[in-house]
Amino acid sequence: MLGFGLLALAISLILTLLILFTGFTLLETHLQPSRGITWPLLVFTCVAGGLFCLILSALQFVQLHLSRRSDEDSLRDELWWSERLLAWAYMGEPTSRPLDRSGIATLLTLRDVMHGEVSDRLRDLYRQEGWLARDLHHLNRRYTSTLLRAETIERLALLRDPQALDPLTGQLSHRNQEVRSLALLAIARSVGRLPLERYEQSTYSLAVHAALISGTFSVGQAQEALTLMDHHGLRLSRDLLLHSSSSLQLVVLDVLARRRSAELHEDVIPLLHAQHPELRAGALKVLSRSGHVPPQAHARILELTQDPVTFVRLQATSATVLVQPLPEPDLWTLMGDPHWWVRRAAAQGLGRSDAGRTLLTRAGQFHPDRYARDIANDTLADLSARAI
Amino acid sequence: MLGPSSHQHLPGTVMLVEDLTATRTLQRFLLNRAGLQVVECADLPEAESALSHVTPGVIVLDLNLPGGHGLNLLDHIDRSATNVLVMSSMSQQHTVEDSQSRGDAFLSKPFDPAVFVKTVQELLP
Repeated sequence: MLGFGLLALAISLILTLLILFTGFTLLETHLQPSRGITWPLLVFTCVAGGLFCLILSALQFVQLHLSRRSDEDSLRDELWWSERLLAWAYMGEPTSRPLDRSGIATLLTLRDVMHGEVSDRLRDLYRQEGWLARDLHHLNRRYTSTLLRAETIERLALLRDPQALDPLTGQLSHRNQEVRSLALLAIARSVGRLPLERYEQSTYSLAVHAALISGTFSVGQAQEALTLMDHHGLRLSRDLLLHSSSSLQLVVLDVLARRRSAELHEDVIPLLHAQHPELRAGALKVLSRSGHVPPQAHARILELTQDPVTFVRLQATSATVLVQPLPEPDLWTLMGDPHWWVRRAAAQGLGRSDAGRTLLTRAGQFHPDRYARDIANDTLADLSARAI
Repeated sequence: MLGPSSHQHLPGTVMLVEDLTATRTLQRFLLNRAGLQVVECADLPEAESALSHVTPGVIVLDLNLPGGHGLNLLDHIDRSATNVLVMSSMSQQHTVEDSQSRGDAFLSKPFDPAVFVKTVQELLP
């Protein structure tokens, strides 16, 4: 940052000199003795412009310096509070001063990064120092500014306190979209990580469910909410898979694939028959990413290797290599698929097992399709290189 | 944080690569309480520089770091002397396939402090 300030200062100095140089050399020939004022005016303008650049650079330099010092101060505060809070939580040493904003930010970071008894003690300290009451007051007050409301929700998201869940649920119907989004994620995060009673889990999962099907949240926000709910969101995910729009079904499939979850396979398998090709591909992706393809889905997966849509065939190929016993004739055919990605998925999938590698070797020599022979030989070469 | 220019093998030392001060302080606090020596790095360049001076027994590696992705550090680590514990949030688990294929340990955030200490102790040579 300091280097950038020096660079800006140097550039402004060079600019000043260039302006003066231009004035002296290029305009000198145009000056006439009768216009005695032009020359001093030109010099004055050049010097004033140069000084202006210098002052701007100096101001920028000072601003950068202050900004750096402020960052250093906040890092020092964070370190001081981290040590004080940990000493308090583990050894009962007093924190020596009430929690200020920096202390609160540090407490919430520590609370967020760990779970267990110490984490709960930090939450209790937040309550004891009156910050929770203050936050809830901000949320319940009608005329709290949007910025303050947003900051409060962000704090409560990190705090994960059951006492804050009802007020946060109330924010799901706030008129401001950002506030609603922050509240949704705060509730999802809390439900995902708090050991709530069963009825509380149901209540807040239903609140998230209602919010998601209202259609006022983006796909990314819905994905993030379901991801944050972790395994506590499985019931909600099942409901959305069975009874929601195709866009929300896609959201659920994407989250399940990312989590590599096999827990909802029974509800995912019917989507292999969906009319929407993205749903078929999404369902196949969930199966292949989980590493477990249920026997009742084998026949349909093999059918989908002949799907007219390329990305469905691609996902079907990835799932097919997990079918046992390995469906060699289907994979042999897929090696000759018109699309490179499908051929590659088939070859790479085969490369994972001994039986598959044997088939790859055979394909490299005897497959009637030239591209299939190429992809088989390339894959075998990659495997050999990795083994070395 | 590292003074001497000569390379040191410190099998009993843990290197923490974590940009968040509070999280790094927590990890250091927990490991110090367990009697372990700790070297702290706040970003990727600092970690790369530290590794040219020190070979620790264990590296605790965060993924989101200023100056680059945490997994970029894997190529700088001497696997014969150093074990790696990758720390990541649950939403990033799909990004650590490469690390897991090398046999690195993985612990998701948020973590249980006792599990963290136990995992590091088990990874020490």
